[in-house]
Amino acid sequence: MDLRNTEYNNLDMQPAFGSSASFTSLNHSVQYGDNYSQVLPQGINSLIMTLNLNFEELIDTQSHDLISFFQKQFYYEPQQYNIEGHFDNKRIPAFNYQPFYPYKVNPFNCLNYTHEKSYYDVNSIKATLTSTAASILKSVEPNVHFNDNIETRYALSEVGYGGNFSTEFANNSNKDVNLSDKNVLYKPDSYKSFPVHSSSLQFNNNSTNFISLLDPLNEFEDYENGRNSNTLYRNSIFINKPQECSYYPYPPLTNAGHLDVRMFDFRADDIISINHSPKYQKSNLSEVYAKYNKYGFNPNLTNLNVTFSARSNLEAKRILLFLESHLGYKKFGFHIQKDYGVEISNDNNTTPHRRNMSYFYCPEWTHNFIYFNNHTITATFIESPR
Amino acid sequence: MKLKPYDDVPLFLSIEGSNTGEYIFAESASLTLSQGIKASRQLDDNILQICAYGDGSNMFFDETFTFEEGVDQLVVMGPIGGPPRPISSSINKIEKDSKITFPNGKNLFFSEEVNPGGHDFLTKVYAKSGGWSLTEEEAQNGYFEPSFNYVADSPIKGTLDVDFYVNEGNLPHFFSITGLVNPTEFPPINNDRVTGFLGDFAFYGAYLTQFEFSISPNSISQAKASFDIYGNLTKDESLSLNYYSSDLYQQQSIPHGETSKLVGLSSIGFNYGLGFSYSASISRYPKYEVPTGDYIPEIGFLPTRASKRQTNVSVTVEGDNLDPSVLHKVMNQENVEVVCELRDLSYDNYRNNSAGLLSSFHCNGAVESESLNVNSKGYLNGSVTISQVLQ
Repeated sequence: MDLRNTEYNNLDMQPAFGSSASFTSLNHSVQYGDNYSQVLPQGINSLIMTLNLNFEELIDTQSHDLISFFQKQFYYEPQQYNIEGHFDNKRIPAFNYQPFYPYKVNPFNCLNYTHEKSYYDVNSIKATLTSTAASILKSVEPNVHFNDNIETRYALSEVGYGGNFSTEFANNSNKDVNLSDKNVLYKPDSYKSFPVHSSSLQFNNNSTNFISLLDPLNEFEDYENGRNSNTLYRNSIFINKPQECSYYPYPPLTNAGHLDVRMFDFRADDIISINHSPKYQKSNLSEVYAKYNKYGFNPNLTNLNVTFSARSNLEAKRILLFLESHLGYKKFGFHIQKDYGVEISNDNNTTPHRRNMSYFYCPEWTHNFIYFNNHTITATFIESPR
Repeated sequence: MKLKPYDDVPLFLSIEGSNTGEYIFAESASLTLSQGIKASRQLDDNILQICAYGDGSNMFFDETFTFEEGVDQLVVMGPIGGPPRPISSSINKIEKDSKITFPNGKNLFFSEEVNPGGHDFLTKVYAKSGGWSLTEEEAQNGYFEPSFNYVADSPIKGTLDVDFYVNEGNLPHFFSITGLVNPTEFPPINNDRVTGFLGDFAFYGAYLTQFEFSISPNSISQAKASFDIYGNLTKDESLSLNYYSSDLYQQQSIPHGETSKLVGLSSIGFNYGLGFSYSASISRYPKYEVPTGDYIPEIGFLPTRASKRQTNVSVTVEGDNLDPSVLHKVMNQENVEVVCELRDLSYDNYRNNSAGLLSSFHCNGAVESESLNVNSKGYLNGSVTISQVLQ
């Protein structure tokens, strides 16, 4: 049942607030006999983005255009059996679409949509768009080690000219650096941060120029070998302008040395539900006489369903880019709820891998654009000790 | 002391995109705006955990470190052993000198105002008395009271309510729920956005949702209208510079009960009409489009459309009699129709303002209710309410 074909061939409508994007990674989980498992992505399209879009209060011509656009993919085409006897199925072409903030243009297919007409000239269409973008990064996000493909080395120093003091940024690499007031610089081997105070700054490769910082640098804070990934070489599968996102760029520091994964430095909402379902094995000697055994080295791992609500545009973007860059299977550190944290050297620590933080991977998450500067992200974190 | 005289405050309406607009001859007007808000709260966001002293280059917590009175100390925040964790982004501001309460009667204070941006792993604190230390356990349990962030979880929306006198200028352009400004428009729905200002305060997204008036013998007719308003207000003191030279300060033509007519009263059993009230309302749903960029328009997010859904017209006519079977007509699927022809007094010496017939208001629907009323100084009067659904 097709609506009449219109000349609308470029999807440029935007949905209403409340639309969402869901991400799921298709992983293989290799289970070993001792409750040890290994997670691997199934292929280059293993991270799937699905947009759930609500196009509301459309006039008739808009709804005709939209439905016509979605139906075009499935218009009748003569099909036949080929010489090998296979049915000659026609490919469904993907179309480019610019989703809502903070996503970038990507190819999508629309395989499911619902049209509702409620009053004269009032229509709503709910559409599910599935991304066909490959889940590989042209230049991967750094884990914790320096990534020459996208990162730069720089030095920051205070200089004085005629009694006036300014800060100089020396870009010591062959890549241009683009900074804005969304970015933050970090001093190596410390947690001292320097927020940038400018709408837009470009530092050409191997050049030195002045930089405006929110808090002025003093002469004792000069440093070299800073790491920065705010370059145009930085890439993302789904996120637009990933260079706007800053994270702590160095290996996270503990009293036992550096971690070899990045920390997910965002706090979940204050209401958190932690479900405990430790792994065990039940003896099957007899149905009426059961004995239970701990299963494996780490039977009490936790799967967290965490919510990050009321997040600003930039924080939502940083969260989404962080999760995307871990591709649904890479591990990261996360601070668990305060009451669950026990220092590893404490005599009361009952799980050797778990300190005041633990290691997780995130196979699926959903982003809901509630309103401007109000985003909600829900995610599943699966604890996975290193 | 001299009393401050009342201001004559202009209310100006215009159709977006058109060059014409009109000052409204209004008795009163009020404008209110609101939005849904939600406090941002995050896990342990008012707990200060100190995991080390210094800039974070060393993550060992020194239990022997002794605070000195009034001396700023840089501390690293996070659970003991690290890695550090930044101050919660749910916090808008921590005031300078805010108190951090630790167990066992120990207190520290923030040395400077903190405005978290998601990257604040370090902060400076000081003690008001010296010579004491924090244990690991104590350092993990500092409680403080910050100012939290709030987010809007719905767009700005409000209402503009106005009591006014209809005339041939304002009625068809701004207060006609059922009519069209442009008769050739198709689909035949007037969805124009109304802009305007009240005093020096301009609004940019107004949509009519309610219009009502009443008329009775020997009295002028006053009307009420409500608009849904979307977006921010802006203030501009030059908006109403031409107010006192506008048409509003010319002779006004106002509908009056003496010359207005009611048609179709016999269908509800009346010989004479004693009063007529008309109310039209419409359900509107705003359509907002989620932005693709990180940019807030100066006037906030305006709906690209406020669709019209069910429109209801309700008319109550008072008369000198009553048809006792008028309620039965619904069961017989008989509609009744009454018309009010709103006219001004048509004084001959005010030719320019003598509009004569201003407009006709029809209601063709079902009788919803009837009533009889009498008091010691009057006659037995009937009253019938008719409802009509449009669109």
